[in-house]
Amino acid sequence: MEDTAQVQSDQGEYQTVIASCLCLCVSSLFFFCYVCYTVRLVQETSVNVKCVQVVMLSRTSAHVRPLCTRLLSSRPLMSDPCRPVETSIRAKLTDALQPEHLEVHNESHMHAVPPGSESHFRVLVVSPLFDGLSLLQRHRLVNTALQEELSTRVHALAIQAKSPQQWAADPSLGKSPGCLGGSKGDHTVQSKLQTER
Amino acid sequence: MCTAGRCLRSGSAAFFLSKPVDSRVRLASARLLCSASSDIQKDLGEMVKKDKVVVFMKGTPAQPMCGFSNAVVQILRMHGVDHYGAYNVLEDQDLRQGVKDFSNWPTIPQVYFNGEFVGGCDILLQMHQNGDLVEELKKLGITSALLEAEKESK
Repeated sequence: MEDTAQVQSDQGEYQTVIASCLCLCVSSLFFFCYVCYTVRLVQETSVNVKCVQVVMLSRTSAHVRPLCTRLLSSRPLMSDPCRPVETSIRAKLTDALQPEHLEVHNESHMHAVPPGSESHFRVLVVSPLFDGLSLLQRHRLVNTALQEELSTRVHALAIQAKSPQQWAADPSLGKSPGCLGGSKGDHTVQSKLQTER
Repeated sequence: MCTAGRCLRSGSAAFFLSKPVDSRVRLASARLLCSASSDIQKDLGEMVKKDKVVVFMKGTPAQPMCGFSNAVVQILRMHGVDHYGAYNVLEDQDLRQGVKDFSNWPTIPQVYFNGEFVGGCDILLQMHQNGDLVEELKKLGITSALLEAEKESK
């Protein structure tokens, strides 16, 4: 009788220990997930995010953008003191080329320049003014419109210049190649960054 | 392997750096150029005609220092263009600015076909994608490797 009671008591304690361990594991798992979610949320909402990939697929597919770029894009650009170069580029291209569609992407974060720089850009310009013009002529129009920026603050400019028909046939944004470190230690880039500030 | 050559300005020495035979890409040191801007423009006028394909880039074809320059190198390599003049603008700031003035083009890399300015990385990429590059190389007497590969597959 006493042995049976002892066994039952041991079993009860054993079950209690098991239940406690399970509760602890579940609680730890929830806490871990909460921490991960919080960290990710902080990273995505940070303005000076280090690695931003803006992937725009074709019009028939979903546009995928990280939260940070959505937040950045939602800020008004007409007079944004935090992004003067981007604002200027957008205004000048709009004024010179009357685009039906215009995208200005700051790609400085992809290069060996300080966070928050405005030195490397990609622009997509869709304008009827490009009809009948060669690629070289189109790019020269863009270069001319941004002559001041290119001679002072902008170090690199990737251009896609499409007619409205070409854009309708292929509404995709090109992707710039990865940086090979050429900007690092390049005094020309450094002087342009000084001009920017 | 270095070969001493004579600069266009008398009395100056210049050096041509030749790549190993298998790559057949000739590099030219920027020391070939003189410091005066008018001389640079004159030099550039001759440099762009020296080879059928001429590229002003950051770094060398073997070791590009810029993603856009590397893209140009890769595109040419895909088409089997192994023999072209490549000039590293990072070696000489006079060359770097001089070629921008010469082409009236603000960025590097810059590509020339038969002495005529073609454009930068974006234009070369689009020409590659739409098939125009194959046609332009054909005008230079260069048969694209992609064309040959396509014929073989058929």
